[in-house]
Amino acid sequence: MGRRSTTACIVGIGETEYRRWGGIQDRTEFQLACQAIAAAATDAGLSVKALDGFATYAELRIDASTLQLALGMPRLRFSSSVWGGRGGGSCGALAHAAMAVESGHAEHVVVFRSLAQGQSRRYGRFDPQRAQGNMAAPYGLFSAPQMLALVLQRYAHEYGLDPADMAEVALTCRDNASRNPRAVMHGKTLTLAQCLQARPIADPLRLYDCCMESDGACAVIVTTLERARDLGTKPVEILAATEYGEGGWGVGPMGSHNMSDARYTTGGQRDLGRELFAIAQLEAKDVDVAQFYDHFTGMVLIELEDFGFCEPGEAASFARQGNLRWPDGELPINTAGGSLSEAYVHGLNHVAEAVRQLRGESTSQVRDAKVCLVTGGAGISPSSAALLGA
Amino acid sequence: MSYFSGRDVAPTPNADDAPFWSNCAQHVLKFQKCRACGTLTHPPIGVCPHCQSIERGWFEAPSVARVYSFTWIHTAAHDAVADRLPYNVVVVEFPELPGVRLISNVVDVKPGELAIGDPVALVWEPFGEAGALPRFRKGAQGVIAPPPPAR
Repeated sequence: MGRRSTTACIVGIGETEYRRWGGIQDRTEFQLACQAIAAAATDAGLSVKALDGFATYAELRIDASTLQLALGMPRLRFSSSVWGGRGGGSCGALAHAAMAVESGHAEHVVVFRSLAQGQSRRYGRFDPQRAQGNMAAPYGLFSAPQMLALVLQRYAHEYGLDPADMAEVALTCRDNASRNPRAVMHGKTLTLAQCLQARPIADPLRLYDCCMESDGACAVIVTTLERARDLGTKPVEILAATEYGEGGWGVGPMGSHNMSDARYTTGGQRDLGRELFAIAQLEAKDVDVAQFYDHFTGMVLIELEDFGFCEPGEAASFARQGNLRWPDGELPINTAGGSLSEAYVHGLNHVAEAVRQLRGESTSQVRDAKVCLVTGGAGISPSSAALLGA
Repeated sequence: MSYFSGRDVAPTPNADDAPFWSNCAQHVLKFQKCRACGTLTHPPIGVCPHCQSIERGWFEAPSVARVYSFTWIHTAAHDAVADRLPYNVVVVEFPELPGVRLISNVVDVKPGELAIGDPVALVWEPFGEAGALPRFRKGAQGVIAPPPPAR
């Protein structure tokens, strides 16, 4: 039982439209959440009244009781939010949902994330609530790109990091978004020259190295394989989903920068990756397609190393060789466009895209995709990841 | 004159880090050190991560550090820095103090003049009514502002 069981699966995905920051003004975050959840239920062939659990993460402004009321759910048996971790918690929420259905606490748990940032705040701005912000804000260190730029600068010092190799991640995502009509950046071309000449944000990060800020909502429905048999859709198995915070990490680069020397140039996901693959009894080479949490291009390169696709310092050359590209790369990534080009909803859209890949329904479909990796935010603790299987 | 024209975002001292800031106001940089096992910790935390003792002590840092990482920031995520772009943020380490790194700024340098491994020396810059922030200057010799009057 628990997180090492493999009986949980995803039976429904639902999304609202995605728009850039402030692009949705006619509905609240709450209404967007309900729309995405209803769409996921329809996709699963379920009534929303069959839902009996909620799992979510990251700065929740929505209350479970009101959400249950609005959805007309006759029973709520499970409600959880990943504690801390912000965007690190996407697959952690999925793990909570899997645990709830496997243990019998609930039957159909919906994992959701809704953002109408135009109605709240900008993530790229100073946040007085940030944990241990006292040690960062007085020095002008306010936001995630600035904090992770420090990790990437050190990484560049230790291993070398060509801006063009970071741009390859942005260009890969944009190319995938060009085939995905849902993507915010659908139809907007991007060139290497644009990436390299874009305005600098925090060295070495430039504009297109940073994800978008978006409005929209996403939901996925988790149940057991036994219950899934009664539904019309093809279940996607949760082979493994786990939260993980590394020892000694604390808030890591998001506040203190006192990670160990050996782990400073990682995303704090190395142990997470090992544990995830051990749970699923799989190896990196078994992964057909991956949806990496892409808050920043350089962090995706580091994730490739943390999850064992490359040795430390080798991800840039792996990317340079075209390995991340659809359809011919060794490991196509972020096939819907990711947070860099589809939408930034704290990575839950990465789970939805993994489901589409394993159903054979992606707009950048990897042929015979059987195993898809999804990761939560790197550099944040606790982070999380999942392996999903067809 | 301080790095951000004196308009720095002031810390809001809490139960754990209030002694850190009151030491800073006296131009003394001290890191938390466990009275039971001697483990150094930063940022301050109420319990020793090594032995879980709640007896928290303080240990004075050397005045010379080394740049562990840095970035030049080109956008103003807060109005306080809007007239200072681009500005640097550094992470410094103290070779004698394992496990301690400090976020700060290096004053009097332009883009291109900072590198990982650079030695930097502690300087104090005023902020607010009576506060002081530990910042750094390139080289092994800081220019130490006159200490505040004894209280």
